[in-house]
Amino acid sequence: MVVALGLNLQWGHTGLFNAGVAAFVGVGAYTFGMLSTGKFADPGVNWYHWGPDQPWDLIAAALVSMAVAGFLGVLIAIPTLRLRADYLAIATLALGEIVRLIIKNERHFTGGDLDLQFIPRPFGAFVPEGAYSNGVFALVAIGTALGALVILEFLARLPWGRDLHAVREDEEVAMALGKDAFMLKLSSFGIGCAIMGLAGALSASYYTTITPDQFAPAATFAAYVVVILGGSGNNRGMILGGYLFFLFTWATQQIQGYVPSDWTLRLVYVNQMVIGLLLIVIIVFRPEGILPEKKYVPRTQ
Amino acid sequence: MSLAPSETPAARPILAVREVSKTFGGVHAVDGCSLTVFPGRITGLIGPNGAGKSTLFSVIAGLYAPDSGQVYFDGQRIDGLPPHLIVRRGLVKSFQIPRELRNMTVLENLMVASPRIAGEHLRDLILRLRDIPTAEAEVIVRAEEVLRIIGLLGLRDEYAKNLSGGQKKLLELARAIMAQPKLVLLDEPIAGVNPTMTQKILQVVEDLRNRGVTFFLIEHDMDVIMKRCEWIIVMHQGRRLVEGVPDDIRTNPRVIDSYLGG
Repeated sequence: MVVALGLNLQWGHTGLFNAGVAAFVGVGAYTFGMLSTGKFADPGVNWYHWGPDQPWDLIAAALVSMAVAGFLGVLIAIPTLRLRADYLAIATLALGEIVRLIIKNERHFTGGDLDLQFIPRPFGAFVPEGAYSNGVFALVAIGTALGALVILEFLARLPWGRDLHAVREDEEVAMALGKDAFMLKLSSFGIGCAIMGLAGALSASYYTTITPDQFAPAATFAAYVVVILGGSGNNRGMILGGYLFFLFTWATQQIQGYVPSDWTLRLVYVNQMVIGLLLIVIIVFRPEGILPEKKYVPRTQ
Repeated sequence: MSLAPSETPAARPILAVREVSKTFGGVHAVDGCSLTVFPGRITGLIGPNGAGKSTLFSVIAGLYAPDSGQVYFDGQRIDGLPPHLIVRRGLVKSFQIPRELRNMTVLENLMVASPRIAGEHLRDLILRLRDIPTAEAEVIVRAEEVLRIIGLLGLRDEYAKNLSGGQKKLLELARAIMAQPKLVLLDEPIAGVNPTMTQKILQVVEDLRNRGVTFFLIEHDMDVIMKRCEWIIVMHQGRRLVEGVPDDIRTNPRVIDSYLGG
């Protein structure tokens, strides 16, 4: 859901098509994982990853994850945002694969396909593992999502947000009205990627073990489903879209026990097919999403 | 073509185009064109289709970089600058086919056009946080004032995509005014607009001219050009053919020839 908030800033508000969402989430997750667990080495099984000598404070690690993901976003955006819109999509799509493969293969650095384990959870020292820990984590996650929501809503209502909309609607007009379209796109993209990095940090902490293939292109697709379902340009729509998406995924998992056994494995594909179908239906019949972008109507002064 | 002393412009030009050329794959759209526009009046740019008028406007506004030549605005060179910096100096161009920001309201279309206000850059959050709400309120007041002048106040909160063709033309003009320009380039501001709306647009242009804004406009409606413009420049095959007051242009044989395909 936090991923969707970041994507909404880029796609919903600014019209930038980021096809490498998973890469930024992955970079955030791995940065967080490595910083918060510290150096880990077990020469006996040749299983280690890089990290600071002392594990970092979780908040500091999360902030650095945001910075790294945001920086990566700015880096890829500087050459591609000057080109036609499609090139950003191509570049980010490629970046997604590059990042995943680097994580997978640089075993001495990230742990590679051996996974990065023992990532701490917030308040881990006080809360025993188990269901209770999940509850505490949910509170932290909801708090973070709300914080991100409030900040992004605030930003979108600034004149800055209005300029982003102008760029989305017609970049040439925006420039003809004195807007620096490039800087607007760059700042929006950078912040969006930082938010995705934050989402990565959260997911790393939730799963406590992360693996490169978690950040495959399917994760990007899921983020778009949430944005389009909820309503691009509307952050509340993101929250709704996120809940619907995960409710649906959860429901498919729940009914596993009640379907014939040869269908249990197929369920996950059925899930994807239904989501794909739903996406088409939404795009054809309600392209603005369930909760469309709100009209800006200030009172007369 | 005669220039009576009283018509000789005394002020320095607000816009000077020097030997500008722009080629599109072998087509010389603008071919060594030079012209000047003087402040405080409505200057018309006419010429047969394909004369390079719209291309020249795009070059002046910075949407195309000229292949050669220079453009001076207010005494300073502006060719090669990105469009948004040219706008900030006070030169605004409207589009020939209205390009409204479709999914934004009429009011927002105008607010976007305002010169830079606090809160458009994220650094303002640190530097000028307290100015943001006041700046926003001021822009709303100004936008409503412009809408009142233009006569679109009743459609303030309508999405721009829902306006009629003529209303979009008005919106295009309103946006240009909102930018508080010194010079406005209007590319066919009244083409395809009904007569009532045409009168309204022209009235607004004249009112603003009286307040010191300079207009440079492309138009095909000869009645309008002859009646409303104080100076006319004729372009033909990418260059300036002649210029003068309307009465001289009307009777100039070279102008008539160019329109008849000479």
